[in-house]
Amino acid sequence: MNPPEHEELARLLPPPTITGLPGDRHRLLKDNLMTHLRETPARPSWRGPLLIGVAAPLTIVATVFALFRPPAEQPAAPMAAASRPATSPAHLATAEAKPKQLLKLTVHSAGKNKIDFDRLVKDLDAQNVNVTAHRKAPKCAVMMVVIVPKRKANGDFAVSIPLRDLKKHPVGVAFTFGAPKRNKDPEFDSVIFTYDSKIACPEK
Amino acid sequence: MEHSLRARVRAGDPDAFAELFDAHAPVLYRHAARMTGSPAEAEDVVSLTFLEAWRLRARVRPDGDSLQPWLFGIAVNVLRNTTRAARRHQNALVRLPPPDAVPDFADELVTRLADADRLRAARTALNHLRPAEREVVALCVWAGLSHAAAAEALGVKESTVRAHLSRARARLHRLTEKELQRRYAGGQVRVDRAPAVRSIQEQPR
Repeated sequence: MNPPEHEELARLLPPPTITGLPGDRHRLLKDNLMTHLRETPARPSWRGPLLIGVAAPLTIVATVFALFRPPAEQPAAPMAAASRPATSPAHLATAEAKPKQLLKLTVHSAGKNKIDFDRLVKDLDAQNVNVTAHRKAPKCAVMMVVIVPKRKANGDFAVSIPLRDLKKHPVGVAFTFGAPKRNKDPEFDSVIFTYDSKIACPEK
Repeated sequence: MEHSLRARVRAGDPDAFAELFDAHAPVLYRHAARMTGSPAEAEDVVSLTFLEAWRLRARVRPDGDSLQPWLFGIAVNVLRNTTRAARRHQNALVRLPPPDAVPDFADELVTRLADADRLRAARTALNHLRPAEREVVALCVWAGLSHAAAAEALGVKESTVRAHLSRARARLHRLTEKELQRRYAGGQVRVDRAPAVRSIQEQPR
């Protein structure tokens, strides 16, 4: 397009004159960005194939747990909700949650029916998943317990749950990997995710 | 200097991202505000663009000129799917406090209200175009990117950018003519008149 045509287009659709990003908001956005960057130090971009395989499911977990965090624990104050309710990304994420969506979780095995808990914690941390993982099974009655009896061909555990089921249990969810057998030595392992460390269920 | 900055961005140097932010956040904000019609959404888009840039820093080519087209390309993707980007960086975003509900100065309040009116009008005007045309017009005509830079940002050929601009111009011409016919026929304009009316007023008579 030659310059006259370009100018004509600018006349037909003139750019709205706006004042730009206010100085205080510029500083705030920059400070927030820099805080995040310094909290997540640079890592090599290449990761092993197994970690790549786990990254995507755990990202979904991050979404799910953020969606169902108890309202009182949301950092957004009432004032925040009043001033920008329709534009906050958190709001958009909540609005997009569909009842037919599934939570997909993959957890590495450490042999037999044991899960690799340390690796799971590292993966959660690396993915900035906002949940607290607990080693022992909870006594908390309000939590949903999901039994994952089958394993993938490579030995890892994988599970899919409808989000609408998780929504009924706002404290957290417990996953039991392997099949508990009555009157026999336990051949299962568990991990419990709670949405906030302050509301962790009591452990055995 | 840009080459050095590229190397530092690729290496994950936070100070390099601070420089990038100072240099490009204002123009990215204006672009996002015009596309969304909302200053608050535009702030989110700016934040998400730089968070995505940090995540994707290894993909920066070692050589090249300004990093602005790369950042605009990320912003375009964020604007196309703000929800997905917001989910990815939810932890970083929730810490951000909202703007003050009541500005300190009345002048600032008036300015913000005027901005909001202009942004709404621009959003209405953009809605007359197809999505691909909107992006190209906003990048080339409003943000001032060259065809080559817009093509790099959108991941398309320059000829595609030129074609979208031509189609956008033709479409706006047709809209303006319709508006003229309605005005001179004595009919009253009821909806979406901001772009065409503005155009008529600014054309030589």
